[in-house]
Amino acid sequence: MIRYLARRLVYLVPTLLLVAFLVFFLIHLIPGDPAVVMMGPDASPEDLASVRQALGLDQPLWRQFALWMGSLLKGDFGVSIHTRRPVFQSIKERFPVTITLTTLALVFSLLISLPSGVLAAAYHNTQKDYLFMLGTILGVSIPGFWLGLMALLVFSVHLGLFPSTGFVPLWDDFWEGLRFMVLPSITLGVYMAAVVARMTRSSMLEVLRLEYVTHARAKGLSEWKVLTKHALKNAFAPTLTTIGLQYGMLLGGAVVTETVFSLPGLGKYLVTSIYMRDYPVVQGCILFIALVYVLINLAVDLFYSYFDPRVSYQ
Amino acid sequence: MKARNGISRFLAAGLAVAVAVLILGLAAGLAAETPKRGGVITLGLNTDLTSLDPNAGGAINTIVLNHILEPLVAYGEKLEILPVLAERWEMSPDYKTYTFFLRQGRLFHNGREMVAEDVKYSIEHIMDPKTKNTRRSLFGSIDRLEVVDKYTVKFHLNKPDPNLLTVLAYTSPVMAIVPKEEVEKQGGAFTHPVGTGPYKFVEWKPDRYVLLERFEPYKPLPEPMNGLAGARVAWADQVRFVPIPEESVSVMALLNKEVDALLYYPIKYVDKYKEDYSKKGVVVQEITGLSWAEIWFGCDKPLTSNVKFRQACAYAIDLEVVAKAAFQGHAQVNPSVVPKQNHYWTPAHDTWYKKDLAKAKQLLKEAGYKGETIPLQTNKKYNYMYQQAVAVQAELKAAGINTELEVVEWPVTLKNFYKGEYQILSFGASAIPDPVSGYSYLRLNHFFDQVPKMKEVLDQAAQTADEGKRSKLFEEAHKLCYENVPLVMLYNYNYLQAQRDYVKGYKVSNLGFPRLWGVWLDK
Amino acid sequence: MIWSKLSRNRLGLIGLAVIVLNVLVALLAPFIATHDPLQIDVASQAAPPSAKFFFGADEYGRDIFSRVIYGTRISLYVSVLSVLFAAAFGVVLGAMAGYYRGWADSIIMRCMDAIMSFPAILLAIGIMAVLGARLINVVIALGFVYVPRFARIVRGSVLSVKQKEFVEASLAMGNSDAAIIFRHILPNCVAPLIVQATANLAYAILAESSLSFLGLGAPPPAPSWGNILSDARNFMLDNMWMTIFPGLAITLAVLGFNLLGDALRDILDPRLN
Repeated sequence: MIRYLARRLVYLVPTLLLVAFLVFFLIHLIPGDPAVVMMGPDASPEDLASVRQALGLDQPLWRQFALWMGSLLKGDFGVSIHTRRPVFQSIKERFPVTITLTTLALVFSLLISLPSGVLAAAYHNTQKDYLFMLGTILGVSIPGFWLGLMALLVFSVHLGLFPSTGFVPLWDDFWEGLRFMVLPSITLGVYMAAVVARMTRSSMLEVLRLEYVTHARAKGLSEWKVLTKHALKNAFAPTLTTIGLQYGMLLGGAVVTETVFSLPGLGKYLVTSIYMRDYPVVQGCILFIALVYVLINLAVDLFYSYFDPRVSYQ
Repeated sequence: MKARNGISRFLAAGLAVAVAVLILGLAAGLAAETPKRGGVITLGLNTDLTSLDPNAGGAINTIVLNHILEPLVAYGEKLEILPVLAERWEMSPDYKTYTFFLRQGRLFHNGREMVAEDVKYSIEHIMDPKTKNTRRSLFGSIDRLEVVDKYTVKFHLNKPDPNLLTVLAYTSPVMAIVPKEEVEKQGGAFTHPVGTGPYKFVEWKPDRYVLLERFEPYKPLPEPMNGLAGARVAWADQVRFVPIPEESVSVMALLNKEVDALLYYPIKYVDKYKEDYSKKGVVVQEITGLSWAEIWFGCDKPLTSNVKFRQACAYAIDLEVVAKAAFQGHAQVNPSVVPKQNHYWTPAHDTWYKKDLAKAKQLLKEAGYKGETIPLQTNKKYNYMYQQAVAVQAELKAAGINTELEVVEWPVTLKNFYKGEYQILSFGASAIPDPVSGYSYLRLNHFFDQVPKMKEVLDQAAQTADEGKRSKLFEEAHKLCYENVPLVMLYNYNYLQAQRDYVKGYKVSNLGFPRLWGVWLDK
Repeated sequence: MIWSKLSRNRLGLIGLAVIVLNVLVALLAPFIATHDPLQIDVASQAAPPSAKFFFGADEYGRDIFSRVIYGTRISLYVSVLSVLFAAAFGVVLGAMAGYYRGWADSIIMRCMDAIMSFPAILLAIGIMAVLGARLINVVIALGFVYVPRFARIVRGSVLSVKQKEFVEASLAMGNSDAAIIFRHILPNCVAPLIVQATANLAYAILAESSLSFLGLGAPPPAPSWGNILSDARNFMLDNMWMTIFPGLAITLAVLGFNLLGDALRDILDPRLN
């Protein structure tokens, strides 16, 4: 187990470096002079020079990257061109909003997908199963931002049940905070719920076919016990991996959802910064979200290896 | 005998009832109009703040800061200069010395009393190039400030300037009097503004809200509220500003009572929904403002440097049509930089071109226009600027002038405006009370280089306080605009202030800055 | 053989029909649309659905029905091109990694891992942010983001087939690496590649509309479905039809590819079910 963990971490390093390099390199993809694009074509030469210096654009590529990595490791994600505040601080302020959104979306999604996936497997090939398949296919086909707009239209505008914008942290006022998050987190969670539900169903079906399950049935255990104790635990492993991968979709989808509901999170901050051409912020946000995603996948992998003893013996 | 008694008793009873009803009615009426202390007023903004430092300027920042900070003098509703922190002032006959006598007992939010030293510090801080105050250039005539005594401060100017007061009353940025120790503690620019205003700063959560709290020791000025001067009574305990960038979402928020009032109420919702929303407790107030919308020409750029070309454009653009497209009738067409509410306005300012496509085409030929496509810069941040651009494009097309809409982001628009980097620009600006400041924008598109007479006229206007003379000079300035068309002034649009019906005492100001003092919640 | 199996899968057939419908609409757009999708008509601002404007008009008086019709072109253009791009690069990279192993494999797969370390839409947003909103850039961004998926599939197939005898025999006969890859190994990947491609076509349509909605995709006034919805946001209170129809269009198109994709997966690779 420790060896697995160690190997996993070792593989992480080159991947992280490449991730950082990709984000770093993004700035260099800007057609034209990045400093001019950021400051405008009529910025004074002094302004342009200071931006170039701040971003290290006047150095050879490898040195730039090294300098950039160096500051990153110190927690310095650069300074916003627009507000002159450190990017990391702005990220810190907004990250709790995004995490609240994605976590609630995850919770909602699991609450819906796990039980329905299990039931669909249990009722395999019946009409209920068919409806389930239709529902999940629809769930992965509806664009998230459209779902959000429609939810706003129906529940906020016409029914006035939920607020259309704003945010109250859950830790300040749980119920009030929840009111603001209901529509966005359900909107965000639908896609994942559909995917995980299907995954759950198919891995349940696989497991149910295995011998030891039929053996358990033969022993006379109740169907419920068969499902939960034997099948579910083993079916859970691949589902867990899917959940980890889907969390990436949640993080990406959060960008769009936050924009639709005007939530003051990282996603909306990223989009606004792109409009403002505030590239240090753009880089910082993308990198930060990617890092979070990598860490979550790592956690899921470790969790997975706990559930599936075969892995730790590799 | 009995009958008469009966009637008189009846009459007496009737009278008593009538009086009772009258008293109750009056009481109820008064009660509705009697301000209530307490509560939190939430105002929806259309964009978040960018800075809490007054020197950074910016209309949205100033809206919030107006509740925290106060200047020496400010504009009233009729654009007259009124005393705020200064109680009265004296000008020397040669306009080179101004003496301000400050009010006493005005406290900063940190408890200390505001004195002459603070005025000296604040003005010097504004004039300091390191502070980067966006309108620092307006203070060019000040040589030095002298603290005469605790409540008296003298401004010594290096040249006669009859209009220093307009500079001190400038609306955005607000030329506030601030305490030196607080500014320096925060590194030279406020992140936690401290002033003498009725509300003190509590916190700013970027993208979420700015929260202000009543400053209990604040004593409203004796004069009634007038523009940005007069009494500022803090009825509400707290004031919150919430940025809601999406128009429709902001209206939804008002309907759902998530906010109590909105800074900008979208024009398109006025006519269609005044019937509907007013039944749901929304109140919309409308007033023709001083904000102006215009089409600028880059006077040093190809084609647009040609006066004949610009005149052709002027003949092509029908101001009514453009105003209708952008504001659907909620604007007042005005071809002059001077708004009609301004006391300097005269009918001479109505002189402008009547739409005449034939004349336009003729001038185009004379200008040597060969049908080239010219970029028309605009942005989508302010809907009216985009709508007017679309309308102007169509108007110009009809005369044979080809343009292409170039949509850029707002910060880019601002940069280009200040640098004069455009051939044609669709733009708008908030209220500029003094015409000299308004016309001085023509420096930015290099018009002064092309027509130096304009600068002369404005310099003369800046150097005299004689209202009659100034009025004549502004007429001449308009004439120069008419002849040379450095810009096409379109209209002054109406301010639409939307609020919930339980928000009382909220009056729209000519100056275009919402004032949450004097406002209370009746719920 | 695939067709006979497919014809028995009802949902798959429906999916195929939807896709064909989309393709036809895209090809025949000029004949189906009632107006020029870019024609502005300020007087008809936010008009509700009528005989003149089937789906109503947008903020500038443009006919939404025509815009949705022409939007089909953009969706198909972007999704097909980006999937081709991703498949082309993915196949080559995956084949190289799987066939040559060693350093090539390590480097290529680490790079693929790095790309997959980003949530897909996030990376696409980042790329669009720097390249600028143009249609071809959307193709590049989406293509780039999906390369790893194809690369992994091909690499897996190559690895499993490499050991087989006929490959060794082919080598012994002196056939070049490229010939071996193309003639023996790749045909085995076709099935999972097709499944991945249809799934990817669905993602690409969703991704392109999301990007356009954010203003980072097809530049206005292009009638991308995402753009139409983005324009409709400001009119949600007046005219909800502007929001409903483009969204239905997106859902339908994506549904088509998903249904077909599911059916193909059932047929070609039942293991994956």
